[in-house]
Amino acid sequence: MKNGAATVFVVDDDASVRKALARLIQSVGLQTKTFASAQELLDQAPPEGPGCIVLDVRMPGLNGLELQAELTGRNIQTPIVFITGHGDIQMSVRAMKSGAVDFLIKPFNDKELLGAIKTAIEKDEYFKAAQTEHSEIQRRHQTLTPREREVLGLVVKGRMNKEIAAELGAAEKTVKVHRARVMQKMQVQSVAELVRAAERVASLGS
Amino acid sequence: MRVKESAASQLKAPADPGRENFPSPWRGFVILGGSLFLAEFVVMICLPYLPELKPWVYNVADAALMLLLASPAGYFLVLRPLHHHIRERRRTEEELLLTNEQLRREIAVRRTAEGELVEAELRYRTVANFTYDWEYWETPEHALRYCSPSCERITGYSAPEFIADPKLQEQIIHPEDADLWRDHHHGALAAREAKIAEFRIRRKDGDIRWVEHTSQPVLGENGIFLGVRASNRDVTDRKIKELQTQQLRRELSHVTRVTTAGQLAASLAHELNQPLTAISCNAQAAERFLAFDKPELNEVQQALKEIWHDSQRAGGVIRQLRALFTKTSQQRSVVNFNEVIEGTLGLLRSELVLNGVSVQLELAPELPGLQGDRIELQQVVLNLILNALEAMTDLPPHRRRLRLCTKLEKSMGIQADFQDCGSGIPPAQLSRLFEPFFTTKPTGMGMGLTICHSIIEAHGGRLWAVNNRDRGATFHLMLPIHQKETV
Ligand SMILES: Nc1ncnc2c1ncn2[C@@H]1O[C@H](COP(=O)(O)OP(=O)(O)O)[C@@H](O)[C@H]1O
Ligand SMILES: [Mg+2]
Repeated sequence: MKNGAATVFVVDDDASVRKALARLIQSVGLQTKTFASAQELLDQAPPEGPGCIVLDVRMPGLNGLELQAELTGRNIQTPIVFITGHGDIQMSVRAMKSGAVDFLIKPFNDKELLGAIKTAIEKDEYFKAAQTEHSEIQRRHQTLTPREREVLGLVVKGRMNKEIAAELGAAEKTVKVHRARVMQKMQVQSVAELVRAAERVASLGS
Repeated sequence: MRVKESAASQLKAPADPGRENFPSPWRGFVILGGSLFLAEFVVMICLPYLPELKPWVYNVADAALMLLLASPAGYFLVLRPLHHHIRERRRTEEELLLTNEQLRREIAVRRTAEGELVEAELRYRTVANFTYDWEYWETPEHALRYCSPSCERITGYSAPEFIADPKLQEQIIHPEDADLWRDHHHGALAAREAKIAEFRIRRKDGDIRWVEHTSQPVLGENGIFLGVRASNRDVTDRKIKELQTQQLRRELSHVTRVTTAGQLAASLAHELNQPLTAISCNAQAAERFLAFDKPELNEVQQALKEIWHDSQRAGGVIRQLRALFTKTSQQRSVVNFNEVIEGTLGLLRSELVLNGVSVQLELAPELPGLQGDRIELQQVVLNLILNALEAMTDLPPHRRRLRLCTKLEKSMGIQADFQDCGSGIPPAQLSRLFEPFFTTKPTGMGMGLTICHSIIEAHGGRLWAVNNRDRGATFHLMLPIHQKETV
């Protein structure tokens, strides 16, 4: 597996299942951290690197689904692979709707579990990458001057330089310079790319 | 000195001195020193008669009063004042009477004592000989000192047969109960305290009878061991009824156990799934660790160890499960009640988890074993815990708490408490809980507590319920440790 640096969080109240799961996951070169209850996991700081959570549905105290809701509430998006002792369809539907990667029924074979974990970690990596990208665009956006932001706004709306100049009461030449600065600061090659970056900034609510 | 009668008639000399020739005294009034008194006189011819006066002289005082008058003819006149003599006599007579009376009384007392003794003997023998139960007294040398004739009614063998053959008693014990008898018999002789046992005997005519046997050491004065007194009662009828009830109870408890097992199917499947999942993960992990360029043998070894551990665990669940489905054997064994509770909790773990119930376990660290049927006792624990869970369904999961505790009550035995914080029991229903088919649940059967009660009773114990001061109910259970030895 390529996601070598990833960590898998195993939450199961049953010590022997917990240990066995951890061993199986380690056997494919992943790191593991084990927790005997949902609360134990919540007490930890959210993971830095990529990873996923392997979570038993039935547990004393907070159960798996409740933990999922709690994590969502805290805006922790680490993907979850549920494991359960019995095939409760209602439960699995709820879990999947709330964004679970998979819902495995014990006993499962290693391929099922490891496959689900792989998917979950990829999802997390993708998500984390996207998140990094987001914050990078955000950072770039912050370097724009108010005038450049105005120009960007109008470029995104599809206005021509001439139209922009008219709207801002500036010379077309000046607009051209602003536009080049914006493209440079936002590190994009084309108008299409610039539009996409601007959309991301907007979606982040700035 | 004036003498009324002449002493002349006395004045004859006897042939020779001797007792038989001692002259008979004659009486007369004597005036001596100015006072008149009655006196006896003896005239003796010569001094050799003097010793013969001895019986005549009562004491020294008498002697002092005696007057010896020597006559010129060589005669002695012995004179004894009689008032003194009369007083003496009277006293002697009184003493005699008193002694006589005492003797009479003593004799009377002896008579009654003897009579009573005879009567008591008769009474006891009659009682013993007519006892309905078969009574005997075995000496420390294993001979029979007494055997009541009623043995014949119970065993078909007569008392002389038992007395003639000290081994007969043991020979008629049913082979299956022989060990029990031996243990009991040794125990009774060694422990020297009252003991009860129930066993079967084979009558002379081949019939099997149930006997309740009570034995007690006989201790003489100074605590000397004189053997064992035993009483044997024919309890065949009672025993048959008991066995029939037991059989019914067993069947009923089996049915409810199977029902319970059905209710718990999901939980039990989960309980089995856990070790299976662990085993499968460990096996697959071990395979991978072995396939490494440099195999991780440590991990493989650890995985194998855990596989073994989890297979044991799975086996345990299956055993518990099978226990729920099997009919109980009639055999009692030594059961540790803590283990019964722990085993049942193992079976219920996921049921408890699913319901969010937290269990507070306070088991006495060292609980003596008790004679009992493990499966049935487990059923009691199971029923009580399930009832507690059901009583707490209206509570939010984090408030569902169950407290289980065992303790040793010195004289009474083992006490176990099942305390929940559920709905509690309306006071009007407290007395009805153990009635068959009493239920307040829409899908309840109302047999759970009935069966618990009968199982505990069959173990010689008690089961009762009380409401807690704050919330919920507590079921208390008391089981004796030393029980009647039954088969
Ligand atoms: N722990 C408890 N708390 C409150 N009520 C109880 C408890 N245990 C038993 N009961 C009452 O006793 C009744 C009889 O119990 P049981 O004989 O086990 O039958 P069932 O559980 O099928 O109703 C129950 O319906 C319930 O009303
Ligand atoms: Mg019940």
